[in-house]
Amino acid sequence: MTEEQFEYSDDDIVRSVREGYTRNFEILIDRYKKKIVNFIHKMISDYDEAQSLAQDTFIKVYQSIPKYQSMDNFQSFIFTVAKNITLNYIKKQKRIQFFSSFLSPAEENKHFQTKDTQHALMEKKQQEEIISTAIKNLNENQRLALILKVYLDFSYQKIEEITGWSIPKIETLISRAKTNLKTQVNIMTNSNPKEKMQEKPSKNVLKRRVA
Amino acid sequence: MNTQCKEITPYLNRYQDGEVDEDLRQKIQTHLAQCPDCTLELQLLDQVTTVVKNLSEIEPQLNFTAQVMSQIKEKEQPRWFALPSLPSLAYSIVFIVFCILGLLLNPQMKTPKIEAVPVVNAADYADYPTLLAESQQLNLIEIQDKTIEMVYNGEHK
Repeated sequence: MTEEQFEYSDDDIVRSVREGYTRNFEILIDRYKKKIVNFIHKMISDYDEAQSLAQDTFIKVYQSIPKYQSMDNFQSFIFTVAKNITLNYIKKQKRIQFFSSFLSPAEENKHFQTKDTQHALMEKKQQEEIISTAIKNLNENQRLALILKVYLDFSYQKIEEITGWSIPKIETLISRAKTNLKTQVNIMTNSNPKEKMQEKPSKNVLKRRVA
Repeated sequence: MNTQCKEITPYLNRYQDGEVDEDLRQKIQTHLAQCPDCTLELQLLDQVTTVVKNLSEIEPQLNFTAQVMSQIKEKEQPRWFALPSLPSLAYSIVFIVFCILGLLLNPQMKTPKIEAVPVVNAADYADYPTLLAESQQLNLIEIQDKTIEMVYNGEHK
């Protein structure tokens, strides 16, 4: 990405694409591809599918450009498309898993362990594996809310735009997701902070929060 | 857990997400400064978010942008000979079936009953050739003697 591209807002680029400068869409792809690929990857934990669904996202966004209103936020727009494509994929996978469990129950585990997880087992740290599995085990709404908030650092308002959920619902989903992950993180770090706290209250934390 | 903790705990998640207003933020901070339990709770939440934030990222495939652009170009080219996609084909078939059923079931579209038309002898009405020709045209009568009829029409050779 060249420095010049930063001068143009998403809406400027969308407008130029709409006027026929199709190649300018590449700037938008380059701007968002990493975030979109990672967002989808964190939702489905499958490297190849994440790449493919991210490509579908950009194609869908391109096709929707005539309908896009500049009052909308392009970032919310693109993540809404990515979210819809990902949730549809998850729904389809669930259906396939449901039927394949009837057809060949013995192969269920094979199906669950995708190429990516096999790869991950070898390469990623053990800690990351545990937390990835824990995230994977969250229900998809909790997972979606958590990734949008914690990984992408979106505000509740932006999450509302993307998901269409109310803010109290978003808050509840994030809170539940964190609670569900807490146990896993505790096991992972292999230390119980509660015990530590009882021995010696963490003054650093207090200072940091007060500051 | 004291009363203040009960009051604060429900907002810890929002606080950590940076989604509380200034008043509440200050209230929570004051409470945290004196409550180890709530501080611990927040510490646990911090651990969770740190771990999630630090999950390693993947890179988009090297030719990602080029692949998307080529797929866009491919889809933009008109495909004159392409078969309609399965759903649209299915919708068309359903639509056509409904149209046919509608036509068949519509009482107004039933074929009219063919009523018996009186058969007349052209020779009997030789004095009224126009009336005869018109009546026949309107299917009100059937002419028995074709030869004579054709004479009236001036076509007989």
